[in-house]
Amino acid sequence: MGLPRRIAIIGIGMTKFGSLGAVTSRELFTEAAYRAMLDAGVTHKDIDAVFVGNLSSDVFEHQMHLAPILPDYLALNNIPSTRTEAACASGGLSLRTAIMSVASGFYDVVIAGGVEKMTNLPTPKVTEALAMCSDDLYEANVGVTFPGVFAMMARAHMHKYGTTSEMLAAAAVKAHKNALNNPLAQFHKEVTIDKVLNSPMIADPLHLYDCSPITDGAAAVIVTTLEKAKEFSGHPVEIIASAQASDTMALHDRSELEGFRSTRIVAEKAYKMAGITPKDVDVVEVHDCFTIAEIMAIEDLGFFPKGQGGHATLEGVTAIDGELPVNPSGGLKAKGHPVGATGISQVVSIVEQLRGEAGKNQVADAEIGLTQNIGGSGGTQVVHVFKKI
Amino acid sequence: MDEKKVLELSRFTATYTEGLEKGLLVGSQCTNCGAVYLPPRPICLDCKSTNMQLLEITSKNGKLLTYTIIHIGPPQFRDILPYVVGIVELDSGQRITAFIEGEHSKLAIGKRVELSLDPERKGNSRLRFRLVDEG
Repeated sequence: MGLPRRIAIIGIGMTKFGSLGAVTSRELFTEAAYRAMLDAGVTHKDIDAVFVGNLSSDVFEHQMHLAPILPDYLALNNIPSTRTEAACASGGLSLRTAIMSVASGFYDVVIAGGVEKMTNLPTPKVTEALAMCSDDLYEANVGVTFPGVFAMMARAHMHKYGTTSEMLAAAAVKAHKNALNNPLAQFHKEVTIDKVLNSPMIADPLHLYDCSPITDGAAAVIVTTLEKAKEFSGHPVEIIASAQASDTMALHDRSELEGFRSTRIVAEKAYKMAGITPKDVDVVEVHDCFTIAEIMAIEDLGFFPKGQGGHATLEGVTAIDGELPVNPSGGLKAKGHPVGATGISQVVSIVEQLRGEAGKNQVADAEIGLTQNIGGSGGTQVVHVFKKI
Repeated sequence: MDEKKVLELSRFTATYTEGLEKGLLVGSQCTNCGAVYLPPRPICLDCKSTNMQLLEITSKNGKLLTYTIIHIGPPQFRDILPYVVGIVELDSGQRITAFIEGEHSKLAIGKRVELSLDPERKGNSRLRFRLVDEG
């Protein structure tokens, strides 16, 4: 089943990602959303509603009820604004909610964005906040951290398939290389496999350079119908699938520890809706919150057989000039991971690719792109598929 | 479902925690299909029955399915860094996440572990397994 109305993204905007100092979520969101409005050629009176993905302005900025602050600061006056929270998939869910609101005919033009201002807190406090994205009762209470959950999956993957630390490190090396040409990325510094392997251990077997950083930033897109897109100057890209699935919160409740059943479920739904197979996808942005997450994602999305993701990464198959370019933007790992903004920032990168505006990181002949956004340790999964017009 | 049963559905997480404080592992069993859950669940994942009975999980031994050594942790566990957490599969089949006690050099997937609750900690944080010396 396709969407009841065909949907397009007609404008994109992003702030710089990084440790941005004394700036607030409302300012970051406004910058990203205003850029998206200019890019789309829409004005204030065209916007019907705002959706914002945000994990925790509550913990990070002592600000709940973030949603109305954003249209207020954007001078959008009394239009509806809704915050979506699904841990690191908050952004993907913001886009999905926006799509549903427009595809259903409820609205015609909306902003789907995401924002997070994380660096106000010291690292242990951020670690504590992110651990709340695992099962607080049965995981965080016995010392599980967020890197810890992925470390346990990494160890299981290594044990079952022979995946090595070098293969994981290769994902980080690629991410940093790709981020060199992304002016908005947090890091502009190449790393080597040795540097990754010699960086401090965070949650064994994951080193510091296997982990995405703590980041401030915002991203936004303008969503409308394909029909309505003709009224604006923005360069449209069609959204041909939107899918979401849940899974158990606690890892111990799943029969499989070496991958995400929820990724496979959501991918299958998305491919069916788009009427494509994994082979049709030209470029992807997957949720590499940790290097092992990228390896598992490219397997569970159906691009490589289980156990082959690490080999493919080490051999350069997922490089920009490889057979299947993965995370040409630098990914969460090197572009940065402002939690609520991440899902939208992946979409910004894919839209750039399909418009042919990705500069030095442009993937040749990219016509179909896919984004995969994971909430927590796979409790939420959101996948979107995009098509060049 | 009668009113009493609906009320019972909301008492499972507290009963689990109270169990650990008494030194017991409390799970639930579906009296319809026999499935056993740890931590306890009010509705059977398999047959969707609400005929669930709380019970003590008597299996105290199991094996390590996976683990990690946490080097950067939240403030409340800073005093024990680096520490080990893992997923244990009990011999009776249930899986649970817990602190793991033992020499780091002896850790490996498949290693035998036994229940060793930590009386110094509160609530669900008491759950701990110890590596069994296999000689």
